[in-house]
Amino acid sequence: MKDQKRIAFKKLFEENSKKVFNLCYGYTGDADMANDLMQETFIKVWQNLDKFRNQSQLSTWIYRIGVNTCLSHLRSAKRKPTEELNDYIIENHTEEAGEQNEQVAALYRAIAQLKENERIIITMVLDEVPYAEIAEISGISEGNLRVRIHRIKHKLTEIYNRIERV
Amino acid sequence: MKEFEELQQLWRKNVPDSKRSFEEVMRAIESGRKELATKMLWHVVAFAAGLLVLFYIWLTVPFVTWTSHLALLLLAACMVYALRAQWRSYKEMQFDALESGQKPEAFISRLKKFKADRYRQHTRSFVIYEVCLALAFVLYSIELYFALSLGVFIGMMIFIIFWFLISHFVFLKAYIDHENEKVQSLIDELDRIRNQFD
Repeated sequence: MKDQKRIAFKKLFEENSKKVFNLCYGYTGDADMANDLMQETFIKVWQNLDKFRNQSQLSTWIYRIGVNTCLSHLRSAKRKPTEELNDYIIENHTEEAGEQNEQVAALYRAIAQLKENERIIITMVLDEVPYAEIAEISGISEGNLRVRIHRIKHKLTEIYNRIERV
Repeated sequence: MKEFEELQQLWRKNVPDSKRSFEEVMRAIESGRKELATKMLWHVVAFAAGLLVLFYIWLTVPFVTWTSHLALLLLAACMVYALRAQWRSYKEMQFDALESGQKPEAFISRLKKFKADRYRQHTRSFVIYEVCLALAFVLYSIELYFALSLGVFIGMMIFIIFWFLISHFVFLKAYIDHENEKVQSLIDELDRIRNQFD
């Protein structure tokens, strides 16, 4: 029984860990922190796997756990206040700009300037998660979400182009 | 000038890979469970040892007045209460896991309520605990009054009263202020994030 759960969990991990990592990376802008949040998400998935009742797709459920884990990571002792975190991401990626592609650094810096929910939504859009699934994950109606995504895309592009001009 | 689609391509090509393997996550699950279980076990052992010492004193020291027996009973009750509080904290720690699948807005509301309840419960528990301990000392002091000389008794009472006053007005106040500040800042943050999902 335990072996079966482990096999099922391994499959889930292989199919979803990259997507959850990307979500956490978009939210935090930091690979180490994103790895920690991804791990925390899968620990919760493991603990709750028996309680999953097929109300939604398994991947949607995992995504939602990932979103909640990101949103609640402000409770951790290591947490930085949002403004400080944004500064950290901006600083971090500015320092890396020499080694990395400058455009990528500008993109991360632009994402860091969005609000928490915008970061989460846009990361899923960037990863091409279907709108219906994003709506289900974020608890926002699909119609409302389309409007919101349009605004966030516009905002992100604007911030990115502003950063690039500087 | 770049369009959103170009940013999307940039993102897809450049997000780093996760460095956490399945085996590492499984190890973290195992070690987290063991760590928590060990911590809980040590708490239970510490309280059980405390209770054993208390019962040993109760059985071996010939207390004369019934008030001393009542004081010991109260102390034992305080220890059982503290042990129960530890157990509840352990159960509460599982809260996240139980509520994780909720929609973000509901999750944040629940988290906010949980934080406020936990704060209330902790501060109230502290006062109940303090009152019970004070009562136990008052009851025991009746026997001390007959057993000790008046000077020693008064000295001891002054020390105990002084200790309780410091505990209540300095330690408890500092604890409540600190908790209040911490919980309030978390609630403000949670409110701010929840508003983003409205």
